[in-house]
Amino acid sequence: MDFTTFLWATFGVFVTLATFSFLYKDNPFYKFAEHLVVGVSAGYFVIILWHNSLKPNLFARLADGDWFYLWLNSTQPWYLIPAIIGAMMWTRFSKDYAWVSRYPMAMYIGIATGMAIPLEMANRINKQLYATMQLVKIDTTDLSGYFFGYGGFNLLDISNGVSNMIVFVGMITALIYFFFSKAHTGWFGKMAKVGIWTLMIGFGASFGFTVMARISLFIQRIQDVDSWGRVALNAGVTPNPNYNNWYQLVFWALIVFVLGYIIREIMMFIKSKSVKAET
Amino acid sequence: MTLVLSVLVIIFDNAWAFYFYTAEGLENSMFRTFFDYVMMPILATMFSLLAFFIASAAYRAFRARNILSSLLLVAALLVMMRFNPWIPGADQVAAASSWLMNVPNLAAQRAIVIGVGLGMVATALKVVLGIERSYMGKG
Amino acid sequence: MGVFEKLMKLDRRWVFLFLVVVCVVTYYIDYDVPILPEDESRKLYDFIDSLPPGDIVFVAIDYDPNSMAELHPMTYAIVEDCWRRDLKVIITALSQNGPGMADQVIRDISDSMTVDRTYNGVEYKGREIANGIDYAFLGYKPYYTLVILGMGQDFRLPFPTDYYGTPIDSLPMMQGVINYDNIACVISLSSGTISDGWISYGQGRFGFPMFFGLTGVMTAQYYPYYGSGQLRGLMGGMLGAAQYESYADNPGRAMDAMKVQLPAHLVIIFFIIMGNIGYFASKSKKFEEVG
Repeated sequence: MDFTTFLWATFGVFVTLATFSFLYKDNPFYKFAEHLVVGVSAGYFVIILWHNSLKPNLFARLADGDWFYLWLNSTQPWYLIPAIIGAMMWTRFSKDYAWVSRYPMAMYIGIATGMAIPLEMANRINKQLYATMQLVKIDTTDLSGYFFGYGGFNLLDISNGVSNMIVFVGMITALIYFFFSKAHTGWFGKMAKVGIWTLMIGFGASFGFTVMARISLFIQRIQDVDSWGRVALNAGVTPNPNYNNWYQLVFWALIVFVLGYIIREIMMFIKSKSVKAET
Repeated sequence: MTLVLSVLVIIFDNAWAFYFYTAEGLENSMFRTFFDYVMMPILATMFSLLAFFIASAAYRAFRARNILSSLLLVAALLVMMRFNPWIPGADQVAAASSWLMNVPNLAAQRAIVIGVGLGMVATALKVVLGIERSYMGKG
Repeated sequence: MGVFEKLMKLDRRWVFLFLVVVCVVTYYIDYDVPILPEDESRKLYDFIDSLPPGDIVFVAIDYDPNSMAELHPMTYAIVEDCWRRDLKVIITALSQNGPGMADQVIRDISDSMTVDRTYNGVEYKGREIANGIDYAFLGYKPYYTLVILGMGQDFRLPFPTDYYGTPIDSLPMMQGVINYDNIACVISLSSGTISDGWISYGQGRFGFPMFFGLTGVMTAQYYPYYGSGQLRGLMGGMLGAAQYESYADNPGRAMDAMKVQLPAHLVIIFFIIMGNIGYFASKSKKFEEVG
C-alpha cells in the first residue's frame, strides 16, 4: 500500500472510530461522518447511474444521430420513446402538469403487476404448495419405514416421514393462524394455536441468525482496523517495500488523538460527578 | 499556519496529481478511493452499531414470559449454539439446529412466504382492476 | 436496592463495553475453531466442484457496504475458487452500492491470483486475470426485476456495455453467450429483496440452477425455497462463508471471524440468561410483596 492510499485508509479508520463514538453519546465526530456519507453516496450514485445506465443504455444508442434532427436520424430512433416517457416523470414537480407524470407511472405499474401476477403466483405460492404436497406422498407399502426412517429411527433426520408430517401440519396451522375471516375459536382456534407455536420457532431461528449477523458486522470492523494497523506497523504477511517512518507517525498520531479524546471525556465525566456530589 | 500548509502541500502534491489526471469515469482512482475508504467504512460501521443494540436487547427484552416466548428463546439459543464445538454434545446440537431450520422453521417460513405471495398477487389484482389507485399520488 | 435490580438498571453502555472487550481480546488470541459442515452450503461447493473448466458462473453482487461483513467473504471465496478452477465469471451488481464492491473484489482477487497456491492438496499455478477472458463485469442497472427478466432474453439488452464501458460483444468470453442458457449457474449474494426477484423472475421463469448467499438476518426466511428445490443450496451469514472457505481450503476473513463469533455468541447467551434471572428474581420479589 503506497503512502497516499495509506492516508486514505487512515481516514477510513478515523471515520470508523468516529461512527463508533455514537455508542457513548452523540458528538461532532459522529455528525461529521454522518453528513459525509450522505454527501458521498449521493455523488457516487449519480456517477454510477450516468456511467452504467443513462450513458450506455440511452445516449450511446442515440449517439449516431444529430441533435438538430432531434436524433431521429440515428439507427435506433425508437430509443427516443423511453427517453420521452422517462422525461414525463419530471412533470411531477409542476403543479399544473403533474397529471402528465401519471402516464409513465401507470405504464410502469402496469408492467410490474403484469409480471408479478403470474410469476409470483407460480413461484411463491404454487411451487411452495407442490413441495408441501410432495411431503405427504406416503409410502403405503412400508409405513414404518416411511415414518421412522429406512435405516433405523432418527428423529433429527429431516427426510423421514415424521419430519415431513411436522412440516405439513406446521405450515397448514400457521396459514390458519393468518386466516382472519373465521374467528379463532373451537378446533379452528386450537389449530391456530399450533400454528403460532410453529411461527414462534421460526422467529426464534431468525433471531438466532440475526445475532450472528449483527456480531459479524462488528467483527468485520475489527478486522478492517486491524489490517490498517498491520500496514501502519509493517506487520503484514507481505512486507511493504516502500515502508518508511511516516506510516508509524500517522499511526501514532491517530492513536494519540483518539486516546486524548477518551481521556477528555473521562475527565469531564469525573468533573460532572463531583459537581453532582457537591450539590 | 503557512508551515502546516506547505507541509500538507508537499505531502499531497503527488497525490492530487496522481488522482486527478488518471482514467475518466468509473476507473478514476479518486472515485474508487472515495468509495473504498469513505463510503464503505462509514456505512459498514453504521450498521455494525446494531451489534451492540442487539446485545442490549438480549439483556433487557428477551424474557421467557410464557410458553410462546420460551419456545422462541429455545429456538434462538439452539441456532446460536449450532456451530459451537466447545459445548458438550456439539454434534447433536448441530444436528438438532439443522433439523430445526429444515423442519419447523421451514414450515413457519413457508406459511409466511405463501401469505406474502397471496398478498402481493391480491394487491396486483386490485391495481389491475382499478380498486387500488394510491400509486398515482393523491386522487 | 438488591443486586438484581441494580443489574436490571445497569447503563447499557457497560453492556456495550463488555462486548467490545470480549470481541477485541478474542480477536487477538490465536486459536482455531473447527467449522462444522452443513448440507446447504456443501451443495454449492459440490456443484462448483463438478463444473468442467471453461464453464461460466454468474455471480450477482446484490449487497451494499452495510452487509459486506457477511457477503464479502463469500464473494471472495467463490470468485477465487472459480478462477483457480479456470471457470469464467460473469459479475453483475443490482444493488446501488454494489458496483464499487465488485470492482474491489476483482482488483483484490486478481492480485492474490498471481501467487501459486495449494488448495485441498491441488497446486494451482498463479496467473494473470484478464477482463473479458476470465471475467465480465456487467455493472449496475436500476430496477432489478426488469434487469433479471431482460437478461433471460439477452444479456446485451439491459447491458449493452460492461461496467467499464466496453461493448459486451467485444469481450472474448461473451462470444456466443446469449442468456441464462449459456451459463452453469447463478449465485446471488444478496442482502435485500433482490433475492426474491431472482426466485420469482429469474429461477422461476428461466429454470437455471440457483444458489444464494444471504445475510444472517434473511437466511431463515429462504429455507422454504431450499426445501422446495427452487434453490439448490444456500450459505447463511458468516458461518456459510466460513464453511465455503473451509471446503475450498482457502482460509480467509470468515474463518478468522468465527473465533470471535463463538465467544460473542456466548456473551449474548450469557446476557439473555442474566436478563432472565433478573426478571424472574424481581418478579418473585414483587409477588412476595403483593402476596
